[in-house]
Amino acid sequence: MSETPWIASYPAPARWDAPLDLGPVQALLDDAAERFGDRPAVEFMGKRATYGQLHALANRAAKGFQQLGVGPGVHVGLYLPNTPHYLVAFFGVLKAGGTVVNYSPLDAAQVLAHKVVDSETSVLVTLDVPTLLPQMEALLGTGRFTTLVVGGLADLAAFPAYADVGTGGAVSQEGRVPFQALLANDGAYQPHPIGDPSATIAVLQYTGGTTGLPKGAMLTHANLTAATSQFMETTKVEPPVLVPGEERTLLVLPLFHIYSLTACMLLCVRLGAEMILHTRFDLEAVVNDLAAKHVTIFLGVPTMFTALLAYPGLAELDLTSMKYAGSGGAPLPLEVQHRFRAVTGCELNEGWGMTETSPSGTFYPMHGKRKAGSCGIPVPQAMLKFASVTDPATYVPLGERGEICIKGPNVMKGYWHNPQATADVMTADGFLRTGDVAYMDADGYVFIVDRIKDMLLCGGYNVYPRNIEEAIYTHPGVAEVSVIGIPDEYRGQSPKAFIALRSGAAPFTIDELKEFLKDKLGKHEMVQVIEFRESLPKTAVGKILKTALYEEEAQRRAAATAGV
Amino acid sequence: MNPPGMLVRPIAPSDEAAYLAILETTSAEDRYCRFFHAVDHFDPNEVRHFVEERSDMIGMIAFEGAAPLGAAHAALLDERTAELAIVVARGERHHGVGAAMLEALIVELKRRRYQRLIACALRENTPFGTLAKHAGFTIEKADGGTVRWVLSLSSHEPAPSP
Repeated sequence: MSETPWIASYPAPARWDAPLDLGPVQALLDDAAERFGDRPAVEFMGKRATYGQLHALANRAAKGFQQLGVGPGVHVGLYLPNTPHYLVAFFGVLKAGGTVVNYSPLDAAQVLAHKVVDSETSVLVTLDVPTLLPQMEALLGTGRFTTLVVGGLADLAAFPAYADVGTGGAVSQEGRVPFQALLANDGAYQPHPIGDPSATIAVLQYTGGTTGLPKGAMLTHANLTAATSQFMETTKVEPPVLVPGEERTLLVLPLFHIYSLTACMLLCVRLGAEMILHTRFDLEAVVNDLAAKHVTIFLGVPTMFTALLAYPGLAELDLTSMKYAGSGGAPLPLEVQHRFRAVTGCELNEGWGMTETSPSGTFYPMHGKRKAGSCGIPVPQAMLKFASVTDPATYVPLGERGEICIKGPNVMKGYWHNPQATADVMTADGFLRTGDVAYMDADGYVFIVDRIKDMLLCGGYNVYPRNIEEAIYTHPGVAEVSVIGIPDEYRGQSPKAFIALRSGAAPFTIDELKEFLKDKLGKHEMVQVIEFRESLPKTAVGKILKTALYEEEAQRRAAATAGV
Repeated sequence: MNPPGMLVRPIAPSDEAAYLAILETTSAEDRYCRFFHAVDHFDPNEVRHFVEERSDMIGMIAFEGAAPLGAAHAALLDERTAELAIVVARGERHHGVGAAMLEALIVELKRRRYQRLIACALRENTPFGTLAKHAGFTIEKADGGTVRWVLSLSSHEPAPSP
């Protein structure tokens, strides 16, 4: 087999060796404003801004951030749901010369505190809502975090026509700046040439791991624009399906997640597409907007598509405006893929990637071969090799199972302030070890078969059992605990905890445990099922045997299915 | 050969305090690597289990003077195969303690005509990976975050000193 069998599977006019744009991320918005200035860019709760207006607001945010001291080397956190604040602040930070640090509203308090300190966040933008502001007010003053920019849903009354005069970015004694004050200027910010786009960090994107607290993946300007360019190239078909300036997407995947940030937001800005923002996955609202607003691009995770296809009134809705749909974050059930095509007439394309790859990796050609169970072929200019799982220092021949290793302009610069973690995931020849085990067929299609990491995929999020175990161990009644993933029809997998209690400790309910864990675990990683045991299965030298727990669980489910 | 000043000998019930002292020097990370779960206290019965004379386990302990440096165990799974576990006190890493205890275990296992020594380790346990490779182990299987290392004792020659 050749070293690049996937090249022959590229449907013209898409090319694996297509030139990629590797430039400043903020230039995507500058270009969109120039090309599609009068076209709608954002719609949120009935308010709409054109690309020209979004661009002007980003410029004003840039000047406001610069008045707060943001520039090269300064890190600005975004702790926001999908509202226009995110887009304005994201491009504003980059235009000001700063680096964006994405924060997840799903994170537990201790993870937020870690990110604030580890990332050296100085300024952070959030909303004045009970689920966000108190968490960040509690952290103000931690590490370098001195300034909190606070927006509110009330800001949207004026959106996008904010006053361009006022107090400027004045910081109150408490370190707070209203979002509208950030924008109260003429937008004449000081541009900062970014230098080498492959060296300058645009976004610190935190990602979990099997050990310890999350690490910040350093995604450069070139990483993000390369990934955007790769996604763009993969949508090319003849005749063209996606028309720049004509498309419309419903953006419900959270923008703090790399999949939504690059594959949805940056791709849509590159396309001059209108982005209809939803702050959460409300099925009724999503389904209604998909149909009524004639959405043409929709990216989601398998749980969303499963819910969508189960919507009772789906048959009465016209979803045939859909031209491009993609699913990521977790394996997509074939049945969902088939049903989606039947309902919309549009293929639901699956891909593979990870935070460290910005997150492009593999894709499904829109008009290429379709292979059940495959996540597609490598994106433009990405090389894939497969490392031996028994000897990671060597590669296996293509066609054999091995750990996916990837190299390309979309692969991160490394982990922030963590050279050891970076070294641990890089091969001697500069490929990123991904932890996913797969094989590639003769056409270059990748089939994922296993995972080397102890990690669960819950509703599209990576969840690490060890983090859950460590949180449960802090319960005074727990002597031993082991967490495994159990099948979940909706979320793909859910965490289940096997617990041995300390002598004399009283058992507790799952709800009591959830209450105990609410400040220690993110919502996405919350344990869903518990089972008490006298003791946990161990090897002869005292190591807990997770494989035995997985086998027991599988046997129990098989017996239940068989009606035994 | 043991590093100068180090004594490696079979573990005995009288080593209970020394073994516990070794465990108590370890970090949360070390303990997760040793026990595959987040141990925050050591059950006296379990500590005793690893120092008492047993027909299904061989234990070695290393000292420098009166200071305990580490302990290694081989659980005898059947007539041919044993399973390895090693713990080295924090601050005593990279001094050859693990290699010396492993070599002592291998000598004893070969004397008893054991043919295979296996070890299950977390993928991120790179110190063990380095030790295992140096001793001649190869990876038999890797999944779900764990790696199963195997050493054939019938063909094993002592590794040269690092």
